[in-house]
Amino acid sequence: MTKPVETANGVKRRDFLKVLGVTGAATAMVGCSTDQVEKLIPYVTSPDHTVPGVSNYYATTCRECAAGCGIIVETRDGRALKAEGNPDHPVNRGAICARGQAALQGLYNPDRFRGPMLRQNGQLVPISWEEAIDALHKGVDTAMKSGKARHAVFINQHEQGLLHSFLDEWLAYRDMPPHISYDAEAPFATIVANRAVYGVSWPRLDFGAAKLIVSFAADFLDGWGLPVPQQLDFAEARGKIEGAPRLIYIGPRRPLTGLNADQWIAAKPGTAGAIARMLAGKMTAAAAAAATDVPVATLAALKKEVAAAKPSLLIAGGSGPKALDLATEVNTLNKSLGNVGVTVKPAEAYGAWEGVVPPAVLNDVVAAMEASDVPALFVRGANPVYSTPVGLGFAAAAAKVPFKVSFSTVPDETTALCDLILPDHHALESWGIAEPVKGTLGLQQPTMDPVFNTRATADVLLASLRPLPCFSCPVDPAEDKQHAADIAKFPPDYRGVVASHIGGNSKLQHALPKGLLAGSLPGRVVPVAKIMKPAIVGEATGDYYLATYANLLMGDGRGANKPWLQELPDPVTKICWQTVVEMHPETAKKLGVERGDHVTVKTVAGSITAPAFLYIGVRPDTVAVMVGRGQTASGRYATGTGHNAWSLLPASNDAAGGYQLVGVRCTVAKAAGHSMIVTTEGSGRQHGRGIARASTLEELLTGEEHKPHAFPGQASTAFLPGLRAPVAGDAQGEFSDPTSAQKGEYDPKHPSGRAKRRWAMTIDLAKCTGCSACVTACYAENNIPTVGAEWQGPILYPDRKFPGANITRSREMAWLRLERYYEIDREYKDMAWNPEHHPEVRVIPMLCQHCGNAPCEPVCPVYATYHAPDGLNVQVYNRCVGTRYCSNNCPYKVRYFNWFGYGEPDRAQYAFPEPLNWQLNPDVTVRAKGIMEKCSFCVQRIRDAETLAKVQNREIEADEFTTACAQACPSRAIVFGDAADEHWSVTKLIEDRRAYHVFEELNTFTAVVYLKKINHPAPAGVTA
Amino acid sequence: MATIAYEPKRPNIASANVQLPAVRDYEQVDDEIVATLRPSKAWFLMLMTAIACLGLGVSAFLYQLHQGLGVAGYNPPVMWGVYIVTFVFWIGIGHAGTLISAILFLFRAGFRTTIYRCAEAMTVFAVMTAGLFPIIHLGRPWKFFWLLPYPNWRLLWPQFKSPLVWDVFAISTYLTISTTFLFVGLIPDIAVLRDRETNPTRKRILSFLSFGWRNTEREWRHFARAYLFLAAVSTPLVLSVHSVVSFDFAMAITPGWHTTIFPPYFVAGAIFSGIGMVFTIIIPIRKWFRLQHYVTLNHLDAAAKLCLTTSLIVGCAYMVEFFIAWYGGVQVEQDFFWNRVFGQWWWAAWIMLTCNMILPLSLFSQKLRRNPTWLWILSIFINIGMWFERFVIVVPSLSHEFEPWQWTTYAPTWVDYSILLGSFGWFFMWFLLFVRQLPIIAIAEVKEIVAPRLKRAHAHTPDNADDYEPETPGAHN
Amino acid sequence: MTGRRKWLVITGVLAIGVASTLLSAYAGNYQVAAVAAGTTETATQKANREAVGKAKPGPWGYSGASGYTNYLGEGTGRSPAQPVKFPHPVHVNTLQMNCVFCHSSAFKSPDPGLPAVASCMGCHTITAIDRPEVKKVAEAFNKKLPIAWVRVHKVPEYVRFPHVRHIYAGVTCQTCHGQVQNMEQVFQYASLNMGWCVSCHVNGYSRAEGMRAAGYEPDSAALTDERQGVRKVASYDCANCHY
Repeated sequence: MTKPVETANGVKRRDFLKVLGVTGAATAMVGCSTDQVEKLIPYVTSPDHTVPGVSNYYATTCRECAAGCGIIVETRDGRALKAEGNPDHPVNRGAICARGQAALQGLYNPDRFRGPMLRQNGQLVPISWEEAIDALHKGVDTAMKSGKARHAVFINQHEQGLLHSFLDEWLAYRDMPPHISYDAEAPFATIVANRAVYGVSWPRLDFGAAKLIVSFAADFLDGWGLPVPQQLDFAEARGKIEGAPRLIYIGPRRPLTGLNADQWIAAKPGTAGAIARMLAGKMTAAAAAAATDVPVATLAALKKEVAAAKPSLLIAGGSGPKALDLATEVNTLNKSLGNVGVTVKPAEAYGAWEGVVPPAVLNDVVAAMEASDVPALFVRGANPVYSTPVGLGFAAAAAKVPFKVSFSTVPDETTALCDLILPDHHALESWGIAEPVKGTLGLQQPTMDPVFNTRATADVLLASLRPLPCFSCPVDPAEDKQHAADIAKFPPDYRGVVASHIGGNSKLQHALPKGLLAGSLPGRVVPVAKIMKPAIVGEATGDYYLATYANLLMGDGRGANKPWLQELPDPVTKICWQTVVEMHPETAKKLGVERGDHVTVKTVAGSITAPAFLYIGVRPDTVAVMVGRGQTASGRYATGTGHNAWSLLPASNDAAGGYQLVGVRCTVAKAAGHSMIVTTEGSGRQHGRGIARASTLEELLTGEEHKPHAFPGQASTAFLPGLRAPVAGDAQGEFSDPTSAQKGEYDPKHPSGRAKRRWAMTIDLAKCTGCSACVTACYAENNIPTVGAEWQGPILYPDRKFPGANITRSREMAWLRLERYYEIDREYKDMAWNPEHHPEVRVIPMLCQHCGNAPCEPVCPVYATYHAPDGLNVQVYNRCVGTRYCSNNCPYKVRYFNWFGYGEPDRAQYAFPEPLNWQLNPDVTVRAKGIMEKCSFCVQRIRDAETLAKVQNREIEADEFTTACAQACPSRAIVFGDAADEHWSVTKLIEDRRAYHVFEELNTFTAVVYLKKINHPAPAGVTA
Repeated sequence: MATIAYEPKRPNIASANVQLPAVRDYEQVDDEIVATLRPSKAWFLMLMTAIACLGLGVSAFLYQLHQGLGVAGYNPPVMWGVYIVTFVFWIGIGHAGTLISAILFLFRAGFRTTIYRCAEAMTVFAVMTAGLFPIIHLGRPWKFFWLLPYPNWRLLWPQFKSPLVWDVFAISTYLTISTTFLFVGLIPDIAVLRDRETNPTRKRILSFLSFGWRNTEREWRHFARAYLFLAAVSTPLVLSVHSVVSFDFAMAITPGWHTTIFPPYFVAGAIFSGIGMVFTIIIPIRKWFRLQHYVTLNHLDAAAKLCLTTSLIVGCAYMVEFFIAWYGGVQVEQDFFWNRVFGQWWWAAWIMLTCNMILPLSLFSQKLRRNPTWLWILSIFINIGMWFERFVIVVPSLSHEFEPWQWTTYAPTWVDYSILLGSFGWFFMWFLLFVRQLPIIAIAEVKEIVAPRLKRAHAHTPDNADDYEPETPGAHN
Repeated sequence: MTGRRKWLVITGVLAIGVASTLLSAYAGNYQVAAVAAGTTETATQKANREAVGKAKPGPWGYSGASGYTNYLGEGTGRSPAQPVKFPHPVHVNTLQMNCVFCHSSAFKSPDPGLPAVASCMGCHTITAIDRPEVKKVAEAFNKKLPIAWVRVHKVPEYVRFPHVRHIYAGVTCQTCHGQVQNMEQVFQYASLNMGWCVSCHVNGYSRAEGMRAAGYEPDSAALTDERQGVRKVASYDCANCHY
């Protein structure tokens, strides 16, 4: 309830975990049989700052990607429950992406290492930490004695912070070279070009200041760069309807950014550079058109438009041999167009990519390992065996290293090779520090006691320095003294390292509540990498281009063992639990391939056979495959799910040292077999039903479609029945007689005062990008089970087992789903390729509309669903008998049925294997088998707010709280509030001229109001 | 009974003057009809089959109960499937029984006399079967009693606005009334069995069931009154029950369900399917038990005419649905109907149209009307067609609703099919048991239309009464 | 079988059916017999019975006790033995300790909270250290082990019962828990079933009644309220407790 941001120390968290009975019982609400005697276990000594059943909130830093967003983790009775954005943080300003939410599933991952392990005759066996550190110590000693220590390799998952310098110091002390800060997701060409042109690795891109945004294959809304801040700025820019920037996307495939773009220029893979040069006047439109296979008119128009629009914002992404040239070209263009300092702000640089090392250095590493020069290999966090191009041959080379140590928290392909596993704490259990924005430090503190017997890598390394309880190596006193003197230079533990950096414990204590303070981190010289020449693309080893890409969810594969991310459909293809080969319908026709038929994609490096997926957003001469799935040893959810696109990539880097993900030549052939496509998409077009509506600025200004009936905000319908009516529940006319004594609580004068409120929501489609962060937030808040795992579905198809079986029967439970509609008039398979025109795309989040006049309510025979006085359409789980009539009668199809006992631990379909169930929200019921569920407008938060207000003897303040989806939304598109109270911001938004209800004609009087999307056609004088 | 003043070339078989020329006297009636109660190997075989099917169904249900409803082939948003389809199917079957026994009784349609007992029994068992499905299809069947309005310490009542609650009342009422009706009609016949029974225990039971019927004038008077009243009570039920069932759909806003035509359309369909089932049952029975001279071709002919009429009504209803969809101009509705007939669900729709609209047209030919084999084959088609009618109403509507993003398909699993089969097992188990315990032709009522003793001399006596099949109607009158 | 007997049978069957339905469905609100299903009455149970005897009827006219079993499978009067025989009467009546002195989060949290072993040791390092029960506590504390109390009061599953809301609404603890201050061994006082909850939420709650239920005389303000028929009515919307 109350939200004091607690300091971490002084709280005996270990005691928390003893408390299982008191409120822990609340989560175990499955089934009704509690005949057994229930025990209540109090604390032995109750911790300070904590009240049983009341949450504490810890500010820390998200480590799921390099951005280093600030998050606030809610913990109750010693368990982290939910990660939310830190409103004060300069990077994410309170928002959080799907991946950040899923950090909790990394923390509670059932496959995590329980403790240190040692490989003995091929098997990993648990050992004690003493033994482990002993083993590490010995191993390092042998490495040093071998005389090859300077070839030792320490690969660390890139994260900004003190670990850089700390590791380097430690390695130096061991005569070892500086570590490799590896990140397969880093857009290296851009980083290098930025350093060259702007002098910083990642300037702030101010979308709001721009009139025109041109993205050269930079998918800045889905996994490229720093997703959350980019999306915040972009959505904000699009949100100011008048003067909102127009977005043009250039690239061979149409990713999420392409879907949000007003124009997609489908250039051939790796040729965006030509367009940049044309804009710079170094090339004629005709030549560029020839190079890119784009109509010359389009390019000419683009040139005019860029010239006209000032200021503009040009963003270079892309990958491939010419990626660096492209990035440099574009950045210089920004300079010459005078965008630097206006839309590109090097002054407000992000620290995300400081100290990251180009993947190309692995070329040297592999070579050295091949030559068996490397005495020891340390890996922390990263998974180089999986997330490197198969052409690099990392695995084979690594096998030759005598001593391989992993500090990973979860098993993966790399740990499968290692001899010694020293599991690190999860980020939410560890100390740390980051410099997300120049001059601002973000602190990272443990939010709960370690779930398993793990230790901070830094502490382990320190411990391995100390003279240890004598293991076999006797040290002579002199050396020992010297040794002691040396290690005295090191602080006692990593927390100490952090504290000493910001100037002492007290300072740390003071800073922790906000998690932010001024300061900076030591810079780091990035070792230069030998760049392997990009030799592949030139040779015509196939008649198609391969475009691999990583989305925000799976990333380079790090998200694959988190069921939330596996289940969350890709924002573009809407595919989950599966890897598909995306090809244009024309390509499919040419190959004689239907949707779902298996095709084999073959490159010089390797090949995969996966089901084909007809996607109209990819060039006919290109096939696209997503990386990040198809692991072989990364835990129960990842292993055997999908196919590994890394196994298609040759060892080829661009001039900056980044991987070449796009433009590799490949052959595509029909293969035997057919698979169901695991997608949540029914029909991808609206059939003219006005679900996701859009209009243009002119239409809006000229009041083109300013029809009163179409706009609930207008005077004629300002008083929306059921929405603005004080008696919300009255929409069904039950209590229509004002004098009726039967009104009960539906009477605004009733002491409970419920009927005074009308909870409602607005969703601004001009801002919504379809990133789906809200969906994961909903999963996290409302204990929604994931149903796609391989073992959850075999009942349906006894003959075959495959992940997503339940999804193929559209049994996903997402209370909130993102619908993505193409404005087309025929099925995908009948779509022809037309470079002149690409259909508009609209996304719309669809959730329970909490209708004032809900069709689902009167049909429920047992009152399990009914209309609450405060306007909620309530689903009472324990009253539901499961007739499912409500769902049949729901025009929005937002009710979800528990087909199996997803919440019952003894079932195959159990969705929360220990310790994932530790994350379950105690304020929300875990639904039992055979009942209906749906969006509740986060009723538990409403009740909490009411309780808090009652306790503080006041009314609920405007915008005091919000729902999980609204809180997470990185576009700030969702606004929740009380529509019957003028002070809530939602009330004003409902009056917006763009407001409309979905399926108004059904008189459902929905409480969810959508604001039309605004399209930005090419300005007059420019013929696109 | 009335004598026949004038003999038309083709007797008006819808009149009460139905001749059973091959039936000489009351003893023959008693003998021949009571003879049907003798068990035979074939009967045992059929009963075993029925029970086996039932067993399969029950085990499938238990499996579903344990695993959860997910084992059935639901494919959201298709939240209702085979179970609801079968529920409506069986309720429909029930209706012909009451129509024949009650309404035709009030309208003095004589041809009902020899087939109504069969139909009546069919009604009761069909409703018994149908009643199971609303419970089988629940997510939490063990909570079904929450649909009943009973005082409880939760202080909660069912939602009386919900058509499902109306169903509860409609079906329970229907079951009660039709059972009573069947039983009352049986009383004199049970008395006959009692008189012929030698086993003392069975005799006691039968005499209890026959309420100690003594065949007195007074009893007959009361009996006739009671029967008339019950007929009058059940008559409105024929219309009301299936109307209420149709409200399950008509009350929803789902395109394809939300139609005012549903009540009459469902009632007609119900009677149509019921007559179909009557044919399916009565034709083998009259053959195996050699009762052709009781259930004569005249009777089948008349029933076939009824069948044809209802088929025409149903066909008309289909056409009206399409017309309204086009005429109403609601685009969602139009999309849906197009999809139903020419899109995703064309096969189901065309099975329905063929079986219920096209094939029954053959009954315009008197030759086919009087051809038991064809009638039987047709009846099978009608049963299939009517099951698919309900399928076409339930599933395609849900799979193709307002929200294109949620358009899906639907494929039942072995659990659905097993439970469907089980329902047939359950129905036929009861029916077979009935056939062996109680007369399937109303002895008392047949006696009413047999020429009484005095007239015996005039009664025509064919040499081979058993396989008596007049080639041309009335040839033997 | 003659007509008369026949009708006798039919009406008889019907009558029995109706009667049994009503009986089975009716939640009786008679005063509880404090003896939990057991043969001979122990001293504790005797004390409990007398405690209940002393209890004034609750705010809505009856003690809330009901023969109807709640989801715990056991009904009112259930009195499980506790690992430590904690004598509420001594602490509350004799030592005049307030409920929230030990159950400290009852007015801050949905969860009333149980005293940590350490807080017991606050006094019992000095007082009554020689008592066997106190020794148990001390031992537990030294071993750093919590004491596993047996739960007595539990609302049915799928119900949210935030104590803090009820405390702030001025509901006395005894209204639902009975006069624990007089219970040698705590027993379940109210039925805790839904009808029992709802009856108070609907009919409202007057402080005077609450005070009487708590076993002391209402103050003047409460009495004036009662005279003017002021009752605190709560929300009985389903989503109030079920979500």
